[in-house]
Amino acid sequence: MITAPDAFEAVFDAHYEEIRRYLGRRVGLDVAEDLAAETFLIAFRRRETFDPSFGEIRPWLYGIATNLIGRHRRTELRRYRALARTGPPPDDDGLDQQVVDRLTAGVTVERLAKALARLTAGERDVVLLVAYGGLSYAEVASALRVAEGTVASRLSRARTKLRGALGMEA
Amino acid sequence: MKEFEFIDRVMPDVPPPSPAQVAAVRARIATEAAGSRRAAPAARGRGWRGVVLAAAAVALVIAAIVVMVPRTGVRQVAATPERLLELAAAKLAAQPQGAGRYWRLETEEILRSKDEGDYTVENRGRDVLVIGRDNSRYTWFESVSAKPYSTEDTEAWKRSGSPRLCPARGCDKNLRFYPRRDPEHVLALADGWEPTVKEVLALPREAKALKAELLRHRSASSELSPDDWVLQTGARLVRDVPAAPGTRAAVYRMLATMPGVSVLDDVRDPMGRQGVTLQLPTRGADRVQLVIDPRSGELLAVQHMAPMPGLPQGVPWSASIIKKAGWSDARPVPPPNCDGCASRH
Repeated sequence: MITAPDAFEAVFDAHYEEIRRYLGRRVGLDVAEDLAAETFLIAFRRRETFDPSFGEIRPWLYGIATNLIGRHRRTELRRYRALARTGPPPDDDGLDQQVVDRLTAGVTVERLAKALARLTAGERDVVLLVAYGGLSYAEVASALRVAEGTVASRLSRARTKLRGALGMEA
Repeated sequence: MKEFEFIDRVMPDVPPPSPAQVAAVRARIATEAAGSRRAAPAARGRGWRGVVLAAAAVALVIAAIVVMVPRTGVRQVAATPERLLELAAAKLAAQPQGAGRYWRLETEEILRSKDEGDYTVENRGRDVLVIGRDNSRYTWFESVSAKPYSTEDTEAWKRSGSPRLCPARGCDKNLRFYPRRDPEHVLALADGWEPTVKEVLALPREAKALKAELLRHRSASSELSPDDWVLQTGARLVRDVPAAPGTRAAVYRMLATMPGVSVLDDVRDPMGRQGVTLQLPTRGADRVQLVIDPRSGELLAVQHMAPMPGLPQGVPWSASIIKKAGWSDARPVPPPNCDGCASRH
């Protein structure tokens, strides 16, 4: 349990930026700034019900954030469609390094955004928790409060779809 | 977890928030959590009035607001680099020790040199090092790109017939990945001292005790002076091995008090990120800078500064950007045909 607010401040300091980044990459910063704040407000409100035996704090926060995205599915999909049309915004830190990576992987932002838009909401949650959050299967399961088997099967379906859409090994 | 890593790499990232933005959100949360009805739109209507806080909790939260929100018109006291470093160290020391079976360090390695021809070439590569609690080790390096450094260099390169620049991806198809470090000795902190993961994790979390412990491992016959021994092992502790957050914070504090070390607040890493920087004493012509994220205390990059023909002053000739450093259960998978990239003790 995290009952003391100063302990909660430590939680905020440790995780705010990564939660904001995760949200920002999914729904864009316009919406994400608010959602990130709301994630921590909700977490603060529920801090006494946080059960460490069920999992770590990080997946718990990612779970709250992911639930909030549920209310902004259309924003997220619009974002992918826009990326699929126009590619990354010019202010994306277009390091040459990243360009090289993209080419080598044979994956462009455009194609990937399109492929992500075609996943089901549940598959996308699981894939992006793994990709952006670096969560393990067990952590994703604890974040979304689903069984680990569900995580595995969603990932496997998503993998097949992405592989098909991108023509690559994913 | 490696399998969807390409999504992380390909999809656009978002810029980090400024410290002022973070402070604003922190204050907003404190305000709203304290039950204020003047909630921002995003959180309205979710029943905040139900939040009941103990009086002490409210006092703490209010104290936080007072501290966090700079009042308009009141100039904040300028933070010295030393103060910034201390804050960064405190942030880092407060981090929990990571959990997981493997510690993974991913860096982007940059080398700018004028080997042949009269232009400077910038080589970039990716280095991966994984150390398991079971003492397994994995490491591989890939040369990613080689290109002329500046526009003038590009012109000079074109004038000499645009020769293919190597090493880079595609240069040597038979040796795309190879170990650049010896997996057997990735934990060596200095000649003659090679701790285990357990020993690294058990190092002191306080600067004086840490310094004494580092010196305890120096043999009298070491080529390094005691100070140089501390500088070298300290720099390696924050960069190359899975030291605990408290130990890394102690390294910062320890280094900051060493003779010849300066703390700077106007240095940027090769990605343009401004950090609080520990600049180690010049050795030969080379000067090592440890660029630290002032907000988290994590190391952003290590860069080597030396006057180098063809490079403007202040541009490192060699740098490692820390892309990822931490513990997880993700089992490392070395690339196929990677000879000597894994070892198990």
